[in-house]
Amino acid sequence: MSSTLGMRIRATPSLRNSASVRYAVPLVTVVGAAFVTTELHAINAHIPASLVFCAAIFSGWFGGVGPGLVAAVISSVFILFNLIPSPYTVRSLSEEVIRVTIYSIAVFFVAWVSGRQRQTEEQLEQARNKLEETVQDRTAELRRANVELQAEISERKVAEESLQAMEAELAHVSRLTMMGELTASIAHEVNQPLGAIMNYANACRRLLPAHLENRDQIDLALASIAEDAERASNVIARIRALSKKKPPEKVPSDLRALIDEVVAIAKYKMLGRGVSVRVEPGAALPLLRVDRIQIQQVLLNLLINGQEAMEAVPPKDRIIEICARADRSEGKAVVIVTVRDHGTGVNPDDQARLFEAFYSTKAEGIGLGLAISRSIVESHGGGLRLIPTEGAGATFQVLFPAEDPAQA
Amino acid sequence: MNPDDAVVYVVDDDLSSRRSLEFLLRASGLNVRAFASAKEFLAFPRSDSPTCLILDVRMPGLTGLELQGELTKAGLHFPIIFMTGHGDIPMSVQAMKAGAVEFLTKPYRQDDMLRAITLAIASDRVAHRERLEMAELEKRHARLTPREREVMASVVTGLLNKQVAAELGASEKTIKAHRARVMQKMEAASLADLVRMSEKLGTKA
Repeated sequence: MSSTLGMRIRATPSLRNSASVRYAVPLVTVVGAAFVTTELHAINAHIPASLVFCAAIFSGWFGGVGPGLVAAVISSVFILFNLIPSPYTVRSLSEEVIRVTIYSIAVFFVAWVSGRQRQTEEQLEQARNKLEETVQDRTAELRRANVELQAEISERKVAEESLQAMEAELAHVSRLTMMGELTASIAHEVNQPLGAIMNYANACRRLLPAHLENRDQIDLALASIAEDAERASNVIARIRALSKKKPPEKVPSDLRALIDEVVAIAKYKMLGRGVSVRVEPGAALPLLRVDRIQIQQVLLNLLINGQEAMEAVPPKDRIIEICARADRSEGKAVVIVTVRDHGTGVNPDDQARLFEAFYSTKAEGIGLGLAISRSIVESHGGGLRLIPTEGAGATFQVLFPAEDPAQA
Repeated sequence: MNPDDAVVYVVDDDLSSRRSLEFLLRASGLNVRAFASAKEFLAFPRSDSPTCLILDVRMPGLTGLELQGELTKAGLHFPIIFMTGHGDIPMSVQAMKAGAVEFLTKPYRQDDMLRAITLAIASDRVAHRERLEMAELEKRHARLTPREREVMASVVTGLLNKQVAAELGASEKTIKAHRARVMQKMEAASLADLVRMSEKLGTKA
């Protein structure tokens, strides 16, 4: 809008800027006026020479000081030579000279003034145009800056969103850590009443009269109460041991016993999701020098991953198979544990990054389970990897060196 | 199982733990006194009888281990059974070193607890008898006059009345009279008996 207006304003001065036009137009005007005046004098000699006077003033206005002065000179010459020899003139020569001189001075003055005015106007216009251009430039600059700013804002928004996601994850991790730390106190709080239940049940057994009706059944029920309370307390003790923060302690362990304990811990969760866990029986394994808690953590992680991978498959297919066997790898004795599920399997795109920290294929996942598991197994001199699976599902293989326990 | 004057003291801040143990021990025929804090236990006027103290390791205020230390400082030697909610090995080592008879993880099996109590009371019964004997001897010894104590100290070293008289600068007859009163006051049947008593008093002092 403003740019088109600017174009229109600039069009006129550009025409007038050429020097030839500025001089030619006054010349033509004055000569034209002189001609018309001469023609009119032929009709009536009393018609004054005002037209020429006007032409000179116009020249000054149109062309500026220079053309104005030129027009004044021409018009003065015209009046001097054209109007003096008038047949009706009765005035003396000196009177005429004075008249023409006064006239010339007036013409000069008016031409000069209007020329100056013209010049000022032009300068003003130029300044205005320049201002307009500057405003245009600035507007363009501002527009560019605005575009950049918009891009920055959206970039920042994306960054903020990912920051929020990270913060949420971090909060989750810290919640889990806190839960782990709370386990000790939860275990304590739960163990107190469990111990009390055991005490009361045992005390009641002692207090049962010898000749009570159904005495044996009551005694059995009381004994069961005490036993179940003890069982519950053992579960808590195991969970507490799992979440306890302590330096790794590698002791000779039977991997089968560790597997059985983990399956017992996870049993309820697995049953609740319709998953059956099958531990394949096998020959006795050599004892491995491992940190029991850490290895249980690895196995538990694989079990839970397997269970979660099978949420979408029909219940009858929800099976996890665990197999442990002694073997040889690269000439060395090893114990290999495989955990196989019949779930959706691992997408080929995900396989490369599966063990990376904070890489998760699960919506709720943090992406630490496999990363931590692998580092635990590696700290035992072993390896954890995904191996090809026949049919649906995924198979993870954990390998432990069996010889030279000192190295493990 | 101990139908006598033995008393079991229980100090545990957890109400259900404390009450249930008290209930179990009563049902097992024991005299029980239960306290919610070490402070309450220390303020209780305890009778001198064979005893055993069951302490929870973790308690607000004075912990079980701290109470053990306080009692030792005060010269009170209770057989102590510790209970803890956590199988804390360093803590149990510390407790056992300081003289605890047992360290049980909650929830304990009743048999483990009752066995520990039986052992603790049996050992304290022996100690208790000695404590009583000692107190009696001290009481008798306190009844002697300073002169009689001097006579007793010389006599038990095996000196004859004559020698004692020379040492203490008195007549043999006077010494003989003192000696008879010492034997009477200390309720000693023979010189050998008096020597044994003196030894006991001496080791105590």
